[in-house]
Amino acid sequence: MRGKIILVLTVVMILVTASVVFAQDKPLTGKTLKMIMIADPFVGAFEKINAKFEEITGAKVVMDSYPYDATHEKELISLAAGTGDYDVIVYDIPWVGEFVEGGFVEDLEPYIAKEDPKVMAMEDYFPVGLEAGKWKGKVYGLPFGLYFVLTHYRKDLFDAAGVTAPKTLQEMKDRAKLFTNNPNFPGVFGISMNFKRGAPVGQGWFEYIWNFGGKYFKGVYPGSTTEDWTPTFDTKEGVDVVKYFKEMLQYAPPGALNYAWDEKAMALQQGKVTMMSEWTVRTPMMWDEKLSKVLGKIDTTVFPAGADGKTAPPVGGWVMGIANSSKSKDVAWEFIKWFCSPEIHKEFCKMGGPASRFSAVNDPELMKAYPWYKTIAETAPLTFVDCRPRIPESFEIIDVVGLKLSEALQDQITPEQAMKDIQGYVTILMQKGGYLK
Amino acid sequence: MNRRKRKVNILIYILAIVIVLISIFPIVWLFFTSFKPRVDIFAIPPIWLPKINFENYVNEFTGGSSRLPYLYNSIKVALFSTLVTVIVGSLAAYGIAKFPVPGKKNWEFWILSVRMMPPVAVVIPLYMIMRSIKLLDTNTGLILAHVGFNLPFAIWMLTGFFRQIPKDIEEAALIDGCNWYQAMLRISLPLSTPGLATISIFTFMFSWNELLAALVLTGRSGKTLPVAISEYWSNTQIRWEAMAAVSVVYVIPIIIVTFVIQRYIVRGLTLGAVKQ
Amino acid sequence: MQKRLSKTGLILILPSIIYLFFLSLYPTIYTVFLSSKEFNLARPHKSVFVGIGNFIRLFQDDLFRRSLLNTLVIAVFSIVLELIFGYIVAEVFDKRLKGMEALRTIYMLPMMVTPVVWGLVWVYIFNPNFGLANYIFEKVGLGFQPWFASGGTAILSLILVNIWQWTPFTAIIFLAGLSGIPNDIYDAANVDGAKWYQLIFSVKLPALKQMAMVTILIRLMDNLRLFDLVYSTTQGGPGSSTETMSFFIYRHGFKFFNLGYSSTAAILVLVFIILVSQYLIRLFYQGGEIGE
Repeated sequence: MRGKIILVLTVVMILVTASVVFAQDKPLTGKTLKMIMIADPFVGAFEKINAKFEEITGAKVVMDSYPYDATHEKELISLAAGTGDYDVIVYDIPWVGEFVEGGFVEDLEPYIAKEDPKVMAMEDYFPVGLEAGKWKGKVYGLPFGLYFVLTHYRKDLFDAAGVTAPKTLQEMKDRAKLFTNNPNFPGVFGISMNFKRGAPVGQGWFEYIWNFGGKYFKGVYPGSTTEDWTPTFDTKEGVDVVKYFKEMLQYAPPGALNYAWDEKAMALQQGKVTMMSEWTVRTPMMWDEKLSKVLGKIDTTVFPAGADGKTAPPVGGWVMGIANSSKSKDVAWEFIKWFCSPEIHKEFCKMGGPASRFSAVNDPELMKAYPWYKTIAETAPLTFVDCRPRIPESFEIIDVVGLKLSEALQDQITPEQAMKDIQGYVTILMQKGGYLK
Repeated sequence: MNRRKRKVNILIYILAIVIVLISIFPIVWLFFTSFKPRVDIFAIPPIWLPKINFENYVNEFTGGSSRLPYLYNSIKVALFSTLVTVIVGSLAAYGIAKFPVPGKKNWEFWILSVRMMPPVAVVIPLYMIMRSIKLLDTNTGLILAHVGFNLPFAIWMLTGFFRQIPKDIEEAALIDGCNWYQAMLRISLPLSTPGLATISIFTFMFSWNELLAALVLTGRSGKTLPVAISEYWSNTQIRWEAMAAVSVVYVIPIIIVTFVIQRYIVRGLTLGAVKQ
Repeated sequence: MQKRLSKTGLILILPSIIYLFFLSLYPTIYTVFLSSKEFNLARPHKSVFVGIGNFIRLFQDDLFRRSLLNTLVIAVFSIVLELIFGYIVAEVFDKRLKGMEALRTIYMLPMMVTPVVWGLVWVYIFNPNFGLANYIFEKVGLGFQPWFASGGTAILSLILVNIWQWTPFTAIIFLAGLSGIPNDIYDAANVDGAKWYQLIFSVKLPALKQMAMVTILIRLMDNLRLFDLVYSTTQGGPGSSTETMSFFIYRHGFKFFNLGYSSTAAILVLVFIILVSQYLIRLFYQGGEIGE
């Protein structure tokens, strides 16, 4: 009996000693890191990479992921309450202004300054991504998950019909029409797009407005130098986008009025449509060996240009910052630094994460595995960081655009009325925000 | 005559069964869905009887993103808010029913009108209050909110139960030298056990099913399972099979409870209606 | 003695009064206070006093008017149909046959189970492309239905789910009412040779009138604050076709964090509910007292 106890004690002693030794190896043992993000398809990649971080550092990583609107809600509620619920905040580019102005996220400049520039490799990010994580010249978020909108299309069907990939908006519409109710191509529809009320269709309007030759604020456009915040929603171009959407709705599968990102991508993945414009985060879904019914039949091309041939493809995605109310900012920074480093970023891309660095998009191994990387490389230099607003009012603006467009899409109001309503709403909002006199 | 009666009875049975089928078919479908692998979710024609496969359950209730803590939160919040509601509520109800409180009618009316308040109207200030007393994202905060929602209903119902107890029984006890609280503990409470049970069930159910306050007042550590379930409904990634598995776990206790105590539920519903 | 008793009574009530003050009355006052401000949780330092500015904006807000209308449409249609179906179901379950009680219990499940679960299940069943509903509809020749994915059908689908979930409530109350009708009334009617429909209109329905009114009142209160179902199915869309008052408040409050404007809407809704309920209570209980 006594022998047994001694034996047990010895084992316990050895285990305790061992864990102490290990702890020296793992500098963050006993620390917990809490992060919040959107439930986009990259969550799976995060889970795997977080496990690696846990293994290396000994820290425990807890991750929460939410639907789009709920992510905004949960992040803002938690950050405004200052409960220190989260250390690492993964937030959408349009929310940057809101989170920085609210004092919710840390200025990352001092952290970056302390690190080896080679580890940070800031110049390796797409410049547009770096710009997206900045507010008033300072970095608040690292762009680990930059998305670009690419046009995805069914190469097999396009070849069979003898048409090329759409280069312009007009061509995109023509192709969509061609494949809808076409006896040669039964069972498919022309296109799937975001038509759902709220952020899905609201963001859609902002994605298309530039190539229609319009803009949303007078002084916000690529290369602008003035600061004129007069809303310009109810212009001809603005209305044209709505009309374009309405036309495209006819070429989408029935029920498309409730399509958001996932339903949209699903329609292509399940072989129901021939085309979609969608963020690169969902491109891997088409190459998913288990679920994709269009394996090897999809190709990608650059977002269609406007009538004048000019194009500013949409750029979006998520940046990673530190919560101001976090109680372990140092651990959060250790994670961010490690996660965003070129080496781990490549791992992340390998597991389906969106490529956000030059080194990733030009990596031979990745390029071979992911044929759409060439389209990303082509798209990235054309993009404009403020293609959607990034001011504190952005979430509300986008949601209101999404509400009015959804009303117009089902003939509750005319496209002209929709843009007029939005113009009125945003004008009041901008006056209240002190942008307009 | 007898033959006609039998025919009518058969017709009634068929009708009853059809009604029941319509009402429980979604729950059956939920059960089936919870066993399906992701590939079968979108199958057309639908797979009616999937193989029993607990993979979805295992995925959702084990590992790093397990929903188990939220289930615990739900249980805790529902239990404690019921406990507090019943204790505080029965005291007040007893006071109203048995004592000559000044301005009684006004108090009673006020409590009743509080019941009319839509939760959505109070949830914003509640958020601000909980924020200032640092109870956001805690079980305690949500329990306090749920008690606030339930208390008027409980007081109102319990007052009725206490009033039904004949005065002379209690007066006899008081004459025998009991204090009011002895009378309450020994006479009134035992006599109104069915009422207390009914109130407890309703309070528990309310708390178990409540979404809005939980959505706003809790975050990562304090959220209840309905909030976690609502998060499966996403614009970006919809995981029906996971949602179904978690929902089934959440729904099973309710189904069991409904069967065990259906008498009390019927009683509570009808009493509430008849009493007004 | 009397004085001491009333003091004891007050002490008993006091905890509840204090509690309700802090969790109901104080919030209401606070809501009124917030409604006079332009206050956004993400930009608290920018908040300003606007007086009745929020109310003026709200009265001009198309979406708010629409949400009011939608809420009333949902409430009226749901309640009327619930009363009709509830009565039919009550008649069926009122027959004292073997096994009826078990069936009745199963029938209660929709209203017991968490509303958000139902919302999601119905979204799944109503999915236009791979949902069960359309599969069955197309099999039996009813054709494709967009369900939640079109303005016109979305609100109907919502009402359908609402009715499906809450008819059991009406049915159970009516069932209690039916079983409360004394047998001798039936016997007397039988002796008089009354037809079944005469029985319904001259005996049963009058007996259920009181209960029907209470049911209407309770279900109206429920419908005026309808949130869970909308949140878990349509989130107000497509367009503004299913925007309800509760969802309007929620959207401004916790999507945009305009707590000032959201509070303004909350107050209007509160006033509306109080007015409607008081009116109905007066109407139903002329001269009678509430809570007795």
